[in-house]
Amino acid sequence: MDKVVSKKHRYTVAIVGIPNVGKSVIFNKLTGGKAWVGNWPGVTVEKKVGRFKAEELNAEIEVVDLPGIYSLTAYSVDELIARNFIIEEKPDVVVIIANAANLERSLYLILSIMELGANVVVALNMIDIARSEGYEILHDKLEQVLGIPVIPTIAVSNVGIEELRKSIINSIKRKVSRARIVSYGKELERIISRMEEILTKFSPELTNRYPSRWLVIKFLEGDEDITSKIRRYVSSSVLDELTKLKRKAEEIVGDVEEYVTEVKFKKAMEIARLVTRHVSLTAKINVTDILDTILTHKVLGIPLALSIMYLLFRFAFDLSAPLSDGIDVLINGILRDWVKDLRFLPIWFTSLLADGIIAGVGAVLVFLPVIALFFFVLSILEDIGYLARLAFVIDKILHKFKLPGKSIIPLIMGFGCNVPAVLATRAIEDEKDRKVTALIAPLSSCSARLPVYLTIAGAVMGAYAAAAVTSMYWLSIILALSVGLLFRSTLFRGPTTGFIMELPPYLAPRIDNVLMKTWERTKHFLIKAGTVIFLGVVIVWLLSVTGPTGYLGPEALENPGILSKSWIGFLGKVFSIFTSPMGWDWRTTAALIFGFIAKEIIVGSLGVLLGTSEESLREVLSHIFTPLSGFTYMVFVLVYVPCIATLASIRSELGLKYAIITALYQVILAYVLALLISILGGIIMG
Amino acid sequence: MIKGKSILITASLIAFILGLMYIVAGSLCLYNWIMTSLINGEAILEQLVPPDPWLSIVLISIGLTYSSSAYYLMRGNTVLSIASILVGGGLAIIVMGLQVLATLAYIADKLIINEELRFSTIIGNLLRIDGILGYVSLIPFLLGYRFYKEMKD
Amino acid sequence: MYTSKGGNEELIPLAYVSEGSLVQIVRIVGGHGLIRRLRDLGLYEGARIKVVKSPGPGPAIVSLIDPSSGNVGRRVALGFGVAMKVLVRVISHG
Repeated sequence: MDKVVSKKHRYTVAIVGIPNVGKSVIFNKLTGGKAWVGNWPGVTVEKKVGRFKAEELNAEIEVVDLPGIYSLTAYSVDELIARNFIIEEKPDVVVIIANAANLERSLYLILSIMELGANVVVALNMIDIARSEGYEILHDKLEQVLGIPVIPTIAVSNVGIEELRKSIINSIKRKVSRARIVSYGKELERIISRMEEILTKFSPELTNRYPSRWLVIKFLEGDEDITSKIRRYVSSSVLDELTKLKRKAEEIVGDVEEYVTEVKFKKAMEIARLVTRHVSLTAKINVTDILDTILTHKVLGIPLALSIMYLLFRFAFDLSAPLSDGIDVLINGILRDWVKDLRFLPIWFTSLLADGIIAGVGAVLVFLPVIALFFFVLSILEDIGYLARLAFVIDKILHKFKLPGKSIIPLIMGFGCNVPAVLATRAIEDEKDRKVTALIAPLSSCSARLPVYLTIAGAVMGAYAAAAVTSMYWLSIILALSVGLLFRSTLFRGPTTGFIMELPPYLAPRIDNVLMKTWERTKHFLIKAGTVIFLGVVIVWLLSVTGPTGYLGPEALENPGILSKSWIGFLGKVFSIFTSPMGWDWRTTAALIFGFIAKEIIVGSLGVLLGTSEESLREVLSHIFTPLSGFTYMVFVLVYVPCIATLASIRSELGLKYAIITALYQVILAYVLALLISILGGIIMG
Repeated sequence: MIKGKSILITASLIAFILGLMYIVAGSLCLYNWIMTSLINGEAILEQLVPPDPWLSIVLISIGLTYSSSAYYLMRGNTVLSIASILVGGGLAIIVMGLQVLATLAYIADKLIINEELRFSTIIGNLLRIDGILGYVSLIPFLLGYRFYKEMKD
Repeated sequence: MYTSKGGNEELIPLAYVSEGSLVQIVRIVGGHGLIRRLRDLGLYEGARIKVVKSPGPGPAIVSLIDPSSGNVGRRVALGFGVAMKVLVRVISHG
């Protein structure tokens, strides 16, 4: 019996749109950002090709990015490239990206492409901008009028991308062609039909390759490219016949090209008017004006901004406590004990599961409520339009550190979790500003570091515990700004770009938008937990139960004596050579190694390394740390290397080089600071 | 219009007084913090006014915003006057709401980790200065909102 | 004060325009990057804008005016440096 190898189908999709409509963003979202970049043959226009898999069709879909164009004439290279690709290569689907805030111009292009007989799907992008300008586009109605799928999208926020993908796949399965979408008047249409008949009869090679109606219209317009094509394929008598009909058309409407353009544009405007609904903007503008006078007030602006930030943090941290504890009880308590009771499984396996994976990943998941709530409130502030004002008000201060006002947003996000903060730097236009902000974002004291502060400060700082913790956050801000200034003055020297930012009118928050943005940002945290940390804790577990002498067994995790013989113990002892001036031993140093994976697990690993349960951890810590060495430890945890997930984000955003720079500068800075504080503290305290 | 104006004047007056109270409360907050954390001194009314420097910034901001309402009214700018009341009041109420929610969260938390609920702590939380002043803030805020609605139509 | 060639129009930088004035952008002194970013936000040569807040401490805020309807629309905040590079002529003072 012959073995049948199922072969993947291949389909082609073209992406086209007017300039500045978000075409490349959608291209990237569909193809995962990986593209082959080259040139269109014979010209210097860039050609981008990517692909994505469509399991539904057992196919691979090739995506071609066509140049941004306004129409399909033969007057510009870009337009010729796009038009030729569509009629020669005949892609299975043509995706037209439309700008919801400028619908007429997009519609003109859409109608032109539909006349080519292409199988069109429309992505109605930037619906949020349209909304903030007071329009709402009724996309269902537009779909009805055009007869082709219309998918609303906000490409930069990933809204509608999945629906677009599905629609493209559906359109491959069911092709729709509406070449007669625009009617040019009874008389002209009669001439067009007659000419189509003639062409089809006398040069079927032409009409089999290209849509006949389009050929005729182009001929009537006097399109050079098409006219010469037709001349090549028909006899001179047929050409005469066609030219006679063309002259008749000109008698009726005058310059055909001008007429066709006018009719098409009128139709575009008519459709746009039909599907656009205006929301009263003046009322919103007035409210915005009034609120802004207070919120961006010279004197009140900053204190009010600080107050709102206070609310953000308190909301996130205070209200998430019951949820965090709930997760803690569930995972670290119930689940972990249950796994440990599974006696039928080998001990090393239950240890790996319970002490390694569940403890490690669990410690991270405990933070999920904090982070989710933090980003929830932040997304509300963003949706109502306040964050733009925040950047505006803070710009004065940040400018002194050569940083743009917009940096404040990633920096604040960093207090929740560094990973989405690094990704948020995409919004900063200037490249140098963006890089510097991404490099200092890890200096924001993320929520994962807080337990370390609380535990150690609580253990050794007595009455000054709260002040110590707060000072960490101050230090975080001071360091971020100082390092930013340093970078901007040395490695990333360049003119500081002026502040240019749009201030959208204040709008009531839209719940679906807010929830989606919250999910987007929290998602990164969860992915980090599920992948990097999962792997990391497994590795750490391995390094804990094995050592230079061989396999030590899971008892190592219960007995620090055994643990000191493991690889972790070995590494801890090696590094403690450097950390002894700070007063830390191999155990506390080893916990820092765990912290490289994710700072959330430092406290847990301190427990393991010191051989205590979490309840008595404070007691034990108070014997190991002095107030000075404890404080130094907190500072070190604040500054040293960002967690692996953050480094990974920096790598994906800026490249490997910058990820390494970040890791290096932070370690050096942390070490130097810790040394300085230890020495100075030692001198001061006698 | 006269009726409307009188609502505004009342609201503005209340806001002004509240504003002063907020500023005093905020300053007290700051004082308490300095006393307990920096110098080893005695705090005043610690249950009512916690030694929290951030809270003091918030309270003073609200106070200043409230007070500016009367200032704008005297300058004849009704629009900004009402805006100050609404922004200040809104912030005050949110801060108060936060206290209430935080107390609820505290209750839920203690239930989950099976620790005892200290009734006195709950009451203490609800009756903190930002809570009390916040409850009172409902008055000028609602008055201001009514005025705003009338102005719109 | 800058004067445009061949006219007695007085151009002043946006940074010096008082609050509440209505102005028209005549020229933007800057590189392609700046001009493009401003244009994308609706600040191009010929556009009419209203100055909501002038820069002093802190950035300026301007409102764009929709050329066809005359409606006041989007608001854009501009830093002082940028406001110095946008040369306008005053249509009506605030």
